[in-house]
Amino acid sequence: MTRIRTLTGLGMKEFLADLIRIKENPLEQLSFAKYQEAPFSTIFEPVLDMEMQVFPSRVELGAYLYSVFLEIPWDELIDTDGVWNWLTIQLFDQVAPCDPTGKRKIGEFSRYVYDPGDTRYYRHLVAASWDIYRKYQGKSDIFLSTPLHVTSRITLEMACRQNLISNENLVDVILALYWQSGSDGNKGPKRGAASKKSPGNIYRFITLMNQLELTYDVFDMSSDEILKLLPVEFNRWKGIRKTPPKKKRRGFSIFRITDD
Amino acid sequence: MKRRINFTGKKKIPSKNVQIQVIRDNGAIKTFNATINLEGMDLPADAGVFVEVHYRLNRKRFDFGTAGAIVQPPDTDISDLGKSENLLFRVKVVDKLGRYGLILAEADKIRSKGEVEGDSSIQSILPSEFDHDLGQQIWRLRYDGQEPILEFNKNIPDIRSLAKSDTMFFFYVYPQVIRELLTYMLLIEFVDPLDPTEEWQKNWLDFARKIYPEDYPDQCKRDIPESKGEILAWIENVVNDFSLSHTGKWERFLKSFNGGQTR
Repeated sequence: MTRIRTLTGLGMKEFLADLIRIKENPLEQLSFAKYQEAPFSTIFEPVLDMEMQVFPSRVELGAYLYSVFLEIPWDELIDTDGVWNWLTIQLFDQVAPCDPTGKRKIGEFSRYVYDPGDTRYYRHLVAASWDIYRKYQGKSDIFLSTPLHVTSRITLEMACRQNLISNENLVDVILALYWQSGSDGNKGPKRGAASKKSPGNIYRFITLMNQLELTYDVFDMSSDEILKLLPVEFNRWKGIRKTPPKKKRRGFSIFRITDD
Repeated sequence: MKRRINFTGKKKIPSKNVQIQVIRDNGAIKTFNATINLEGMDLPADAGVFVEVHYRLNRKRFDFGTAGAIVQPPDTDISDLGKSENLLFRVKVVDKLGRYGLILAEADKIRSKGEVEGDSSIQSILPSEFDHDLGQQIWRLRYDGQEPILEFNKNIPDIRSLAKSDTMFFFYVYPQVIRELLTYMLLIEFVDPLDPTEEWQKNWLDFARKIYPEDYPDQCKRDIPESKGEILAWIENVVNDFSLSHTGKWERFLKSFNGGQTR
């Protein structure tokens, strides 16, 4: 077990410098040891321990962090950048893995550097996993079923729109339309759900909801009401099959025409 | 020019018609009060009025009665929603008779103005901007807009987080911000403390008075030197009491000189 720590201001500056260095030279390594002690980190309070492990996906990471931080008020954790940045360092091999040549690809810094005031907080691979799982728990699969270094397009499209991500009924609709629960082993997004070529795909749904939210009180609607509101392009995802056209019946006469 | 087509005739509620005040208890956010003025907007009297509060993934909704009879509900508990400077409020007027709740009028992205009962956070009355190139200055106050803006230097790494939660930064910056702004208001603009003309002036005077309620000054009399001295003394007392009201932060500030945590 590892005692959880939190980065100091000095630790934060050092981490940023390390990220810049690795981004410029992807073969550079991150030195973990210096972040396990002062002056770069201090013990997090209250004292908590966690088991550093390999997480199959962000769902497992979110669930584990949720259990570790269960007793800490949400609004304290959400504003504590030091602990999220320290955790990112501990999980660095998973959030910024090396490719087969040993190079790390460092993406946008908001994925690794947590800033409570940043409107792109949802991009942080560790803090957002915890926060989304905390809010949606069993329903968070659709957002978090990716490796730790990946943010799904669905998450990016939803999480940047506060009006959508905070609406639990909308999330229920998304799950009903685009997620298969996997009783037969096929757990994951339905085929074509994230394809922009598919009619009624999830991007179309998000665009439609954004438009509707401007005009209608969507937040007050139940998930059934939202489903009923959707136009026919979404029927496929609702499980409504196309009705085959009725066959035309030929008319017939009861009179026989004879040659006299 | 970008043109917007308003198909449904949705009206915008002017921001000055909505006043939100967050109420704290021992520093923690508990509830809010909302004053909503819909006069002159020609809205159906039976349209529903709702206030939604959101931060990140969380949203709460409160029923404020109807456009003809706006009533704050008894419970406006937002204690589980986070810090006030991050909370956003949205006021909606909704046609409840229709099938899908057409929004008739709206005010969005409203922040609370000023706080009640003892909190000395200045962030809620002093807008900040973090995208300025200030050379080798850390901050400055800009006065050329509708209200003063605190500008921070974007070239400083992690400046937003520092401004918000670093204790060293707090004590190096905010007491001087208060001193400069009050000096500007009372000794350069000659604002009358008993009759401020702008809302931001009233907010600042209320803020200062909550911190140091004694010896509230009169308007500066330019021809009486003692008048200026009294105002300066009052400002110093405000700054002093502001700094003294953050004992916990001060202790962390002192510890930081030994390499400890500053956040």
